[in-house]
Amino acid sequence: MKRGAPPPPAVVDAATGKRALSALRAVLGAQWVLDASSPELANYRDAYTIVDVHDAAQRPLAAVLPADVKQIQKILEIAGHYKLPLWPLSTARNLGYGGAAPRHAGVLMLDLKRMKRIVEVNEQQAYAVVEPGVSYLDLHDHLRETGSRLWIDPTASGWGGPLGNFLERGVGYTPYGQHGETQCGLEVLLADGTLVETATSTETKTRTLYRYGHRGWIDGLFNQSNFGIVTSIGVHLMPAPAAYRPYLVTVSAEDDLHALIEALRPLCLEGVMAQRATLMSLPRAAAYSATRAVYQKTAGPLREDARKQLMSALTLGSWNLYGALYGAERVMDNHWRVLEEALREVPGVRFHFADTRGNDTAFSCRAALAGGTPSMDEYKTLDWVGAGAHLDFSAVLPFDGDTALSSFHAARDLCHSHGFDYCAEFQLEPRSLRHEVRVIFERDVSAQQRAARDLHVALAARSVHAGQGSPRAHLAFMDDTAESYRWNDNALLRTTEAIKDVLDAQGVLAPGKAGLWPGRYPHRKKP
Amino acid sequence: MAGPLSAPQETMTQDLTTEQLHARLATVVDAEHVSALPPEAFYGGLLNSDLAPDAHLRAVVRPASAEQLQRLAPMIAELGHGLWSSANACGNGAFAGHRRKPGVLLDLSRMNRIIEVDRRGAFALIEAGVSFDQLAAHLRERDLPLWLDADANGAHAVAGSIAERQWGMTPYGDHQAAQCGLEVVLANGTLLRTGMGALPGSDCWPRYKYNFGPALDGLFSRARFGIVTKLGLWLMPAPRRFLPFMVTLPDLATVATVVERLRPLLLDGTLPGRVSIASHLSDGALLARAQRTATQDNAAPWTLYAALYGLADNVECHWQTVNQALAGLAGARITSEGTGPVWPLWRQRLRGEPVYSDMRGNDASALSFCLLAPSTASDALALHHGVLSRLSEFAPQITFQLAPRLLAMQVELPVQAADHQDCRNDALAAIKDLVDHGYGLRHSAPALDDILATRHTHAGLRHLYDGLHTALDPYAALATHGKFKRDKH
Repeated sequence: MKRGAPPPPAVVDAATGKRALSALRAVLGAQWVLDASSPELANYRDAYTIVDVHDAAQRPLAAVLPADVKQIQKILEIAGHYKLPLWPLSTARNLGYGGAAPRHAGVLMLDLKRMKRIVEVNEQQAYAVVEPGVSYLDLHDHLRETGSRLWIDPTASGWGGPLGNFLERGVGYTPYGQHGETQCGLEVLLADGTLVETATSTETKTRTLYRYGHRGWIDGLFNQSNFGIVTSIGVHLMPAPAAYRPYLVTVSAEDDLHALIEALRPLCLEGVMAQRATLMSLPRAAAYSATRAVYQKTAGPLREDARKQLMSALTLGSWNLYGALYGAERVMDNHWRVLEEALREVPGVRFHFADTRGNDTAFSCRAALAGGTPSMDEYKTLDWVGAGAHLDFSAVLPFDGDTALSSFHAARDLCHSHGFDYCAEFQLEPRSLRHEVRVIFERDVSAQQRAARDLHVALAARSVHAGQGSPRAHLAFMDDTAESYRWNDNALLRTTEAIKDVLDAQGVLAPGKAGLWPGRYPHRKKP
Repeated sequence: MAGPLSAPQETMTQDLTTEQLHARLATVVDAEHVSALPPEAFYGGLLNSDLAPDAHLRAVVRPASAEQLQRLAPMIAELGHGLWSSANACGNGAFAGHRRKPGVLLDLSRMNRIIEVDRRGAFALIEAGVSFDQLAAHLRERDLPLWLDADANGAHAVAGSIAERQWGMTPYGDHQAAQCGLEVVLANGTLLRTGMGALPGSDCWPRYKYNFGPALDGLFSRARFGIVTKLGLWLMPAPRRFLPFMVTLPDLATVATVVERLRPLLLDGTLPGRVSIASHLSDGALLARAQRTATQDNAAPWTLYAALYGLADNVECHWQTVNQALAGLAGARITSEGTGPVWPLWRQRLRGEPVYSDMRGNDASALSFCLLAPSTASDALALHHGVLSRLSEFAPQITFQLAPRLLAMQVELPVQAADHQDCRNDALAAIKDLVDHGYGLRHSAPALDDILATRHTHAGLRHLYDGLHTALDPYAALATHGKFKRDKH
């Protein structure tokens, strides 16, 4: 986007589009083909657009809602025949990263939300198999209604689902929070209509138990890509622990981030902190229950007095670590003893549990997520600016105090110079930190959209310069992000493009997803 | 990078004399590193396998660097030869190239630098030729508080073990899962890095597994899409307390009961490593391999080996849980003070250390395979029955391994028996039968590939593999592959 107007995408002309739509109606029934005359077509957009509320550059030709794999195969046949690009969606809640919009106008949205079967739940071996339309809320309700002892690992917003979240390389907050590690088996349709079962076939006893299969382990190919349409996923589920105990650790001074990260590193490596705990900046944690205008009337970043007021009103620190302990009471006590002993060295540290955080939205939301319960409270953070929207930027850095501190300083200063608060978090993994900046801006206000966009560009430039890659990107920044992984003349991207050219020779699946353009598009950079 | 991923004209010079072929290869590496197959070379079961008679292998080349490999791979492919690859001379995880072409074996044993071991971050960055012995010595000499998770045979290449998806015993026992970031040479010479290695200047290559866009790492294990030259490996910080234990079990029925009782403890992390249950014969074979002369005279028919890892207080707590779970089993005895000559070897295994070092690796004439099943008592019994009903006269050595959700049964046949054609036929029949009943198989013998390809690999998945080969190995140097039909409509 920052490179100016994109070249004209490969879309079909009006007459061809019309013929394609009538062929689709014949297959699906007219009610499952939404064309420009349908008001519902407007839902296939980015609700938190950073471009323009009436933006035409992403307006789809139509949307189709198939009921099953056979119908998708028919749709692929029609799309291939007319060279009509398709944009698949599962639960389509990818807010903060471009939502339900495609990369360019004129595509056919392939909305899989009607495919919402929970195919299997296996209590003994702790797994489930679900279709694209199954949300975390659906799966959680199903497990509780059937008296299951299994937990899900929801992402921050409960209306997302396990399939879409895995494909976007999303994360959760229980010990099963790295979704690339808990997925087992996919069912995928290739562009030529071939149905693929990855890992071992469904005929085997180890289908959802052994994820690697017998030859190449290929499931990762479908992460952040456009090589196929995933129609079902197996996910390992965590057996409910004997108990769990959410906690909050607050640290008062901003620069004590360094000491905190250094103290946490061995704890994460050793598994004393078994889950992906989240360390939030003050505005990020405060936004769950506060509106900034109450603390500061003027625009611009929060001043010191407003920060102090916020900290005392909400009993928060400059840094706020939301985590949880799991297991038998005695095991949790042991973990806590080690954790508290290590963190006590950090200046201005305070420890909080559920007993003192009764009416605290941030605490209860993070406690729910760490306890495997989906929540929609994440969206309350947008009220920080009134009617807010958000744009997310994330980068991966080593689990190291110096790097965390310098990345924090750089991101904070960039947020402030663009007129935003530093709403951010560090998600803790054993060897790395995921630094996620949430730019909360006023929805559909064009000056704010522009500033958010500019901030994103500046954050990305700084991160790439510092060798910190983004593991995920908003639609508008997918090309730039893909190109940042440019080692050895973009060898990785060139390799994935070679795969794209074979698996989707017509170039109809999700053109531009993750920066992967079919060869027929002018966007494809020449080697 | 070596240009776009398209296949140049293959010059059909297969009838190049061996001398001419060697001379061509010696334009890239010094002549001393090009040879015919040395008589003392092992390369695992690769050379003696039914599918790859050594007559087809015309040269062994030992490149010193990825750059040399980048030049060698397309040269060999363009000469119409298959690309065979082995991480070191031991040959674990080695693979044969295209079956119907004469082959050149790339032996990466000179590429064996330990590039980095990070104590604070608990990871290593190594080249493909590094062995477990070498890495273990590196950690020991520097007194680093980091643990490996090694194969029993320390001569094995780490990269080969990951390629075979071997399991070790510690909480880092899933070797594929402990790998983080790869450098790979494709058949056309493209050098590519996955994960954060693709981002110039990133410190996170061995720390964080993914890049933006699709994750390719899994393509390069147990599949011939490229040759791995470097990899990141996660190491386990030495636990504050390590408590190995053994349980003697009187019979197979008790083994099956134990599978049921321990399943929840594996799932909830009380037992964070793998649990092994070895037969008397299997333990005897381990002793023999480790060249310990003592015999297991009074050993139980089955012995379970496992360990607890973590904070001292929690290990105590989990020790009670394990004891409760195994209470009341007639004839079973649990102890953390192991006895017998084989116990020290298991103790080492549970600590992630190799227990012997044998360059012959997977002994070419031995026959071994590993069956995979859901972790239930009835599946354990079914696997055991399936193998013993056909192979009992050959005294198979059996070890069950329990992981979360999965049960593996490792079967090894003694060398003398494995040389016997009846034994090979019966083993194949037993495997086919169990695979037909839906059980999985993990193996290193190319001869077993076809069984799995037809019975366990979905037709669509085979089609996808063909497409990936077309994209990544357009010369078909690494593997035989069918034509991917790009447009079925």
